[in-house]
Formats: sequence, structure tokens, C-alpha cells
Amino acid sequence: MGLTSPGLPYLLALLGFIVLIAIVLGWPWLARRTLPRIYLRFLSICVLQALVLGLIFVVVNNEGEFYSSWSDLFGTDASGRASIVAAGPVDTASRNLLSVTARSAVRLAGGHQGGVLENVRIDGQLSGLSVAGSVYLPAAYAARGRLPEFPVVTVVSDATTSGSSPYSATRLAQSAATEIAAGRMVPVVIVMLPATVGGVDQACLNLPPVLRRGVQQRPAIEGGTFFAQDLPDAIGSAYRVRTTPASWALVGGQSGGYCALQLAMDYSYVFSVAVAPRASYVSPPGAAAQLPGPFRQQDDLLWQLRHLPPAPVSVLFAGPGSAAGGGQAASFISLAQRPMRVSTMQLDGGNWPLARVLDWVAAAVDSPGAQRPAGGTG
Amino acid sequence: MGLTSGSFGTLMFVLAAAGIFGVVAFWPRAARQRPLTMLARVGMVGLSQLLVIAAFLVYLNSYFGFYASWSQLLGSGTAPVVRVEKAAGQDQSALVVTAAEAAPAPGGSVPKNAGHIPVAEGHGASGLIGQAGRKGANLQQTGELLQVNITGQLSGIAVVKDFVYLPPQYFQPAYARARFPAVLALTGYPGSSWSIISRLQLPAEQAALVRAGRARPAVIVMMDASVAMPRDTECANVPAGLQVETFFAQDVPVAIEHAFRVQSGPGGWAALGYSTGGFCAVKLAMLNPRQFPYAVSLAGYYQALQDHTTGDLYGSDAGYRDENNLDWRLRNLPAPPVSVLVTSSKIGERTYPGTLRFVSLVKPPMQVYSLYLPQGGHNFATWGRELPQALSWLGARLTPAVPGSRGPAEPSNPGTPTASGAG
Repeated sequence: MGLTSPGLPYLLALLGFIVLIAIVLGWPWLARRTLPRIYLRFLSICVLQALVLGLIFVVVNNEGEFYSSWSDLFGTDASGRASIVAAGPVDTASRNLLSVTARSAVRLAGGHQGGVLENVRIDGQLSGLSVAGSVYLPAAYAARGRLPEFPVVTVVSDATTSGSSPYSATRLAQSAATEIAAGRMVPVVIVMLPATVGGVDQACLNLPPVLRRGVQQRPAIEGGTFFAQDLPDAIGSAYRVRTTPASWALVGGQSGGYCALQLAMDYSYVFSVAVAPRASYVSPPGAAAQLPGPFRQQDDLLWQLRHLPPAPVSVLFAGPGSAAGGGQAASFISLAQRPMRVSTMQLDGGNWPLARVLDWVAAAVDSPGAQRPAGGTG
Repeated sequence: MGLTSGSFGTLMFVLAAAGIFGVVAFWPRAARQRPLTMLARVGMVGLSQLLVIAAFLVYLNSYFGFYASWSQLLGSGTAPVVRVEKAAGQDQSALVVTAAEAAPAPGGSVPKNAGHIPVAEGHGASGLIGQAGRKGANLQQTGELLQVNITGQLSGIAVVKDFVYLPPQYFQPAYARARFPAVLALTGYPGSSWSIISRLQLPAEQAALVRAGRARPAVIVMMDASVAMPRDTECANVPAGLQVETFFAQDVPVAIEHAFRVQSGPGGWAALGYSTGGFCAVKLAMLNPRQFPYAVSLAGYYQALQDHTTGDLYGSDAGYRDENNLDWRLRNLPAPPVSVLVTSSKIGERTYPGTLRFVSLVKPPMQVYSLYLPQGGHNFATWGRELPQALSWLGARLTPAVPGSRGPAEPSNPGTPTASGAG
């Protein structure tokens, strides 16, 4: 009878029961104080024990499928050499993670070359998300001679395509070029991306699929994977940039403030600096706000500050108004502990206020390859 | 008295034997024909039976390495989560070496538990690395086995009594500046990391293969797949709970890279595991292809398990459970650029159909290799037969440590994303 055959436990249980009944009924007969009867007592009790242990072992083994056969159990199952087989096609074609769809020069006042603004499409290898954005390359990027690697500032805002917003790609590029030319800012590569990717405001989080009665209503949107893994892969493969966390910063606009803070806190091994407008950016906007309770809790940055080790990142709250900001930004600041560092910056309205933010964030990203301008930080 | 300590096992055996002798000795007292004595007979037999069963369970537990301690067996199921607050410029608390000995030799016997390793509290950090040799062992020949505590700097999860194997080459002058590839080896559930050494004999097998020229030296990090015994944590990031995946994918590599001369570039790390550890290994690779471009799953499964040992790991959300299901990920998300080796047995393994299904779902740039034994159960003997080929497979892929050099140059672009990882 096989070790895993269904009849074996029943057989052992039946035998055990019979032996137990026999012992109980034959007890007086075995109670005689003669040596053979004492031996028989000993023997009968041991047989019962062995049957019960065997039963336990067989049941547990069937449950856990530890041993498939007697030969497996006793280690005599040396049969069966097998070898490793590759399954499926081997595909070594390299993928194009980033394609440039348009390129325009950034001109400074006076007609000087201020770098290049490229429209790009990033095809996320892991998330599967395809996202259009812009990349600003400073004038120094194309300089002849030595080829330094540049730090990266990623701007997350749905307003990068709107010409009137301070977060518009062209105005950001223009402003960065001006600050760099004036020596107030080190040259950095600026990547500008929308906060809404995959057609849903996923707050740069991985949104699980929505199922209703087992039917998928909305696919998974792997926003976190896109920003934390696909983006560094794509930018790193296409541009001369450093991909260490110290060299990567995030700047969130009104729509990307939560993104910037959340990405830096959850993926501090990718990003080390985050800038958010001074407002309530502690819980996710959009579809992520509809997630069930424990997800909302996990995604609440104040909860993270209270319950997880502080991330080794530098955070800047920037905006007009009081220094501490209002509401939850003040809570955020009071909860942050080393190694996290939080700064605030008072911004004046009007006259494109983001120039000082750019100066600060460029100084914050480690830049040994580039000359640091004197007195350039805000 | 420790659950797996020899003295506890002896005590249980003595109690069980005493129970049997007690029944035999007191037998005549229950021999009179009265209703109550019938009950006494059953009670005596039953009590003795319980003692024998307890001794048997203690023996089975120590043999299979399920639970290493009473706290693992009876614990609260919540990992100690600590708020890591670093003093300026140092994060020494990420990894603390608590004991060290010479690594077990190929073919040698290994004790059933780690109790024999002299514990040296208070040395901290790297104080004990390379110190076992002072007690007469030659680490350049044997390599070293370290018992470590690891505290996740991002997840806050703190684990104790896991093990790091440093190969003999780690201590040889030719390799003094070489950086070694690293393998994260995970147990099944329930399991204790010592069983990777004592039952799977991974360090000894690796050493034997390196001597035979069929594998390359690597640092092996051996850990419990569950961080919150007796709960089965399935390497999941639990919403508003334990961030187990982050712990293994980010915290552990960082702690190991800080403490030892291991590679941090692409191609330097692999994950390996059996049963639940196999699921974890493949999951870690698929979710973190840059950190773990290679994974080996010995008799693993590929779906998001949920039962009374796991509790609710997925925030009661079917969608998030899907995201943790590797079959679902292959069906619904792009395949990651990783190479995985999966093993199972055609007869005797419940995991075989699931493994076939997983293999059929893999699409480029992911690559899958399979090793199917004709027969073998879900046990260490079977995995031991698969291990040599699995380690050779890894050795052919991991970036090797280069003697007489600084090792491979640190790439400036660790994130360069190509299918080249899937060699």
C-alpha cells in the first residue's frame, strides 16, 4: 500500500482502534504479575503508540505532501536525473524605452543658446504605461570635450502642457536656462511628466485592478512602478545622467504635490529630494482616494511618518503664505524626524515664482560633475 | 529550554518512555472489573499516548526545521517594527553579527540547530567578520558562517538569527578586493533559516560545486521567508502593515552591501527559495528586476496564497491580491526582464500543475528554465537533488568575483534597462 494512498490512514486508524479495545478489554488478563504478561503489556502499548504515530505522520504527510512514496521517505529514491530546460522563445531584442518625438532649442534673451527641450514618450517596461513628457537638456549637456553625467530633476504636474501655468514645460525650460546662465543654478536635466498617467489620476501609486464579482472593471495602473522603476531605466538609457538617489529630485505642482512627497518617501532608494507646494498633500487625490481603508491608511503620508522609519530624504514645502503653511503640511513638518529633513520656502506671487525652487532643488541634488555656482542657493 | 535544543528533545523522550513504563507498572491497579477502572485504563493509555505524540512532534519539528524557537511557534504573528533613527552619518544598526563559526565542510555533518555557535553579543556590526578563524579554523579553506540580525531601514522590520555564508575565497588574498555576487536564500513556511544550512545544506553544496569548478563563489544570505512567525507573510507588502516585500527587496540588499564586499550592480544578486521561499524568490525578481535579475524556485507556487496561517495580507481587496499573484501579473502586466529557474516533480509534487501553468504564461523578455524530476516529494531530499544544477545555473549567470582586482567596475548606470539581464 502506497504512502499517500487514501486507504492507509483508515487502515491505521482501524488497527489502532482494535488494539485499543483489545488492551482495555484484555487489561485484567495482562495485569498478572508474571514476566511474560509484563512483556505483553509493554508490547501492546508500544504497538498502539506506533499505530497512532504512524496515523499522525501519514495524515500530516498527505496534508503537506512532504514524501510522495516509501522510497522517497527512506531516501532510496535516487532515480531520476533530469536536466534544466529553457522554455519559451529567447528574445534578446533591446527595447526602445524612450523615443524623442520633437526637439526645440531654448533661446535666452539676447539669442544665446539655452539648451534643448525635447518632447518624449516613455514606454514603461514594467508598468506597461506609455507616457508623454518633456525633457530639458541644459546647454552644458551638448558642450564639447568632457562628458559629465547630470543630476535629474523630475517635475510632476498635469500643467506641463498648459502655456499659462508656471509648470508649463516651455516656461520651466526657459526659466531653468535663465537661472543656469545667470549662475544661480547648476546645470541639471529636467524631466517633466504628467501626474495623471494611464488615463486615471493614480497619485503615482500602484492602483490594484478593480474587480466586481470577479470581473475586472478597471485594469491595474502601476503608477508607482512607472515612476520608481521605469522612469529611471528610460532616462538612464537615453541620457547621460546619474541614477543614484542623491542625484534625483522630484518637484510636484498643484496636481503632483502628493506624487512628489509619496514617491520620495516610498522610494527613497530612487529619489532623495522632493518639493511640494505648501498645501495639504498628505493623502492621495483621484482614484487612489477611493481605495479601501487599509490602503488609504498606508497612502496617508502622516500615517507613514508615524509608523514607518523616516526616509533619508530632503523635503521642501514652497509657496506663498505663512512659513509653516496651513493644515496638514504643518503636521507633516512636526512629525518628520531625522534622517528626513524638511525645509520651507516663502514664495512671492507673480513673476514666475518657481525660479528659486529650481535653484534650491538643483543645489540639493548632488552634482560633483558640474561646477557649483557661487551663492546660487535660494 | 529551547524548542529545538537537544536537552528539550531528550527530556520529551524521557517523559514519553517514563509514560510507557508507568502504564506497564501501574497496570494491575486498573485491573478490577468496575466501570470506573475502564475509564482509568483509557486515561492511562491516553496520557502515555499524549507524551509520545509530543515527543514525536518535537522530533519532527527539529528534523524539518519548521519552528526554531518557542516564540516562532507561539508568537503574536507580528514582526517587531522598529523606528530606525540613524545617528548622523551611520546606519550600523542595519546589520549586527551576533555569532560566527567556520562554515560546514562539504559532506560533513551539521548540527540540527544553531545552539552550538558561540553567541557574542555586543560586538556589533562587522566586529565578528573573519574572527571565527582565530579558534583554529582556517577560513581561507572553509569560509565563514555568521549569525546576523537585520533591521530594515525602510520597512522597519527587524529579524534575528538569520545567517550569512562567506565563501573561502572571501578570505583569500587574491580576492581581497573582489566584490562577490550574493544569493538571498529563503526558507519555506514554516521554516527556520538554519534548516537551509542543516537540511538543504546549501553552503556545503555550493562549496563542493565551487571546488569542482561547477559554480562560482558567492555570498549566501539565508533567511526565514516569514518575518512574523508563526504568521505566513508571503513576501507581501501588507496595506498599513508589514512591508515584507520592501524588506527583502530593498532593506536586506542594502544591509548586506554595507556590511560585506558584495556587488551592488546589475547581475550581482539572485533570489532562491523552496516552497513559500520559491514563491518569494520569483516574486522579488519579477517586482524588482534590477535588484534580482535571477531567481530559483525549488517547488514553489505562483499564486497569492491566503489561508489561516497568512491571515489577510491583501487588505481584503481581491484586486490587490491579484497584484500579488504571479500568474495574474504575467497575464495582465508586461513581463519583467528576469530569468527564473523553476523546479518540481512529475510525481509527488502538488506544485507540478501550477508550475507548468506558470511556465506557459512566461513571455519575453522574461525567461524561464525548468527542471522536473520524474519523482520526488515536497522535502529537502528532493530539493537537495535539484540544488547542484540550480547553483550551477546561477553560477553561469551571476557576475563573478574577479580575483586580483577590484572586481567588476561599478557601472555608472545601474538602471540600464535591457533584456541583457535575461541571459
